[in-house]
Amino acid sequence: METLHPRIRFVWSILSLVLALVCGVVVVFVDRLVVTVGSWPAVVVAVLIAVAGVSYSILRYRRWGFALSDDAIEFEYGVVTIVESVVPYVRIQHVDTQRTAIDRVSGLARVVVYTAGTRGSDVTIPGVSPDRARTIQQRLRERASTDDIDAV
Amino acid sequence: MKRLHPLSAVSTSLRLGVQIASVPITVVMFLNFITEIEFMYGLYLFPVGFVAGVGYGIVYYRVFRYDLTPDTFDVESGVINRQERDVPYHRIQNVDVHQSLFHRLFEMAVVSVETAGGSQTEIKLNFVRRSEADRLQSSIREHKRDPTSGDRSTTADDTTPSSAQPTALFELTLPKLLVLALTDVRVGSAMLSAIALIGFRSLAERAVLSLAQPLGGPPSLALASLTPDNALILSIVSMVSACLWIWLVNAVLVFIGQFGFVLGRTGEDLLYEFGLLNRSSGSIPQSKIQTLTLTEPVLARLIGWAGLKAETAGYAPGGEGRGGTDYVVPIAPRAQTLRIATGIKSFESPAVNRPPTIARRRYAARYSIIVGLLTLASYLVKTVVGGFELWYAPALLFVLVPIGAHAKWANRGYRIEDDHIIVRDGFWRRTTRIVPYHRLQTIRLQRSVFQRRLGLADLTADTASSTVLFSNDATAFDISLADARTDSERWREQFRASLER
Repeated sequence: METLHPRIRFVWSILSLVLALVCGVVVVFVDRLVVTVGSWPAVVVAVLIAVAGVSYSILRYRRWGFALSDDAIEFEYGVVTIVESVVPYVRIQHVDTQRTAIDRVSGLARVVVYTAGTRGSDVTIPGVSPDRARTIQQRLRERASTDDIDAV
Repeated sequence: MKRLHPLSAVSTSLRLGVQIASVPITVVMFLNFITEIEFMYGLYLFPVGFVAGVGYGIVYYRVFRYDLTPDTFDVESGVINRQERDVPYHRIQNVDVHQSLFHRLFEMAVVSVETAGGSQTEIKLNFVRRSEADRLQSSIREHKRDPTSGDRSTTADDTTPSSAQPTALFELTLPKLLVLALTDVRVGSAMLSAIALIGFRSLAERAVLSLAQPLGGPPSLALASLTPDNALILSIVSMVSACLWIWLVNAVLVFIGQFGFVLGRTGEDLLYEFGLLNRSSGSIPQSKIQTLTLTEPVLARLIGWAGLKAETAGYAPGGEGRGGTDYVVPIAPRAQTLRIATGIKSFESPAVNRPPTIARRRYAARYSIIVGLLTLASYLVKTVVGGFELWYAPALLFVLVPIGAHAKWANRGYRIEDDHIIVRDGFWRRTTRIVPYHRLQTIRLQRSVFQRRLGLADLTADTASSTVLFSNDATAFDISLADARTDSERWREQFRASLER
């Protein structure tokens, strides 16, 4: 299994630290404006969310893997619920590479694989290097088009 | 190129006229609230909006054209944005013909053509003569079957489709319709049941109050006469009566909706028709069927009856406002339903293996936690409010925990066959889905924290179906992880093999 770009750990961790900070500020506002709870709950909330967020980010990174095998692309991800999914190349409708604002700042990209299936069948590989994203897209395009079979 | 029926110009322009004319009225009415603007301005604008709407409707009719070419169904439309759409016949999933009461009065019908993907109907002819609708339906069918027979049915006056009369496969007779009405309870009916009560609110209130009183309910709904105890009794009584009311309203709706259901077959296609007031008919090409689903609502199961649905990748037949009535057989004795099902896709039996018994323990634990929390909440109410003698009532639900856990466990199951998978789930509405390997889109193995502790996993076969809402992918719930691993490998191999066939 191929792992994500290690830098994604820091991106996810920073995002959860921002979330922790926001929650802490909310608690401070509640303290000032609604009910006086003192200043320590804000710190506790922020620290708890920060610790949980950072460890979640690291676990998430450790769990994430994908592999381009002979007939299908395989994914494994998830912390609370572990998902292992297999998408046969012939079923791929199209493949996107995307870069959100955060991706661009951190120099990463994501690959989105679409199928004709229903719920949860579109899989996103978050956090790969832009070059790698392009080569994955390229390879998937070649694989998906080799077979002249309806994807439905 | 052909046009819609002239009557459609009349109906579309009238509808649009009223719709567009009502916009300035609403706007003026709103402005009237916040500024000094005269309400009458809205009325002056009414004719302007009406004329604009009618004009748009007429132009829409004049520019809307459709035609059957040798290999595509072409539609040109759009007043402001022109659109030309050519749909190749082999991409068409199903063709539906729908007649509302109004359409039936004038022998008219709406034709909807569905392809895979997209959240909207690909082509909608709103509306044409009924005979034209039937001609389109059968021509498209023929084109799909035999691409070379093209030019023959493209001529406008070819009103006699060469396909033979469909052979009847199933008819929903009156006794069957009654069974269906009483057993097939749909979630959607709850909303309509509530709406049906709007006019009779005080009557319903009085009825529920008088039912609850002998059991210890409150004398009135006034806050002063309510105690936690009699409020609890009242809410239980009203819940039970609400269920009965929904059941009754649902029965009427199902009766009207599915009245006169017939299923037939022409060559490769399944044709069905149903409805008392609104009449709908649809065609499903058998080669486009993704999965078959045996539906057994709990009441039907008691008497050994079952229904059958066929899912295609098109927008679900009946998806638009008809509430997912994509039945192939609404209800029949199980043996008859199975006979029809095996005629569509051969399979031996819908029998499945239940999940390991450890799964049942998991459900029991889950329900116990829920009941425990309810009891705790009720105890907290007692300590805060006081005078709540029946606070322990939720704890009585513990009796139901083992029953519920067993029912959930016993109705779940999964079996693997040479060319398809069978999964079953649901107590209230048990569904048994038959998924051929060559219809697999993705395979997903999933384990939550709780499942990992018990060595269980969910294995999902995702198919290209269209029911996004309430979609239930075919999932084998809570099978042992070892089985899930080997089976997902096996599904994958079988899928690969099915492509080569």
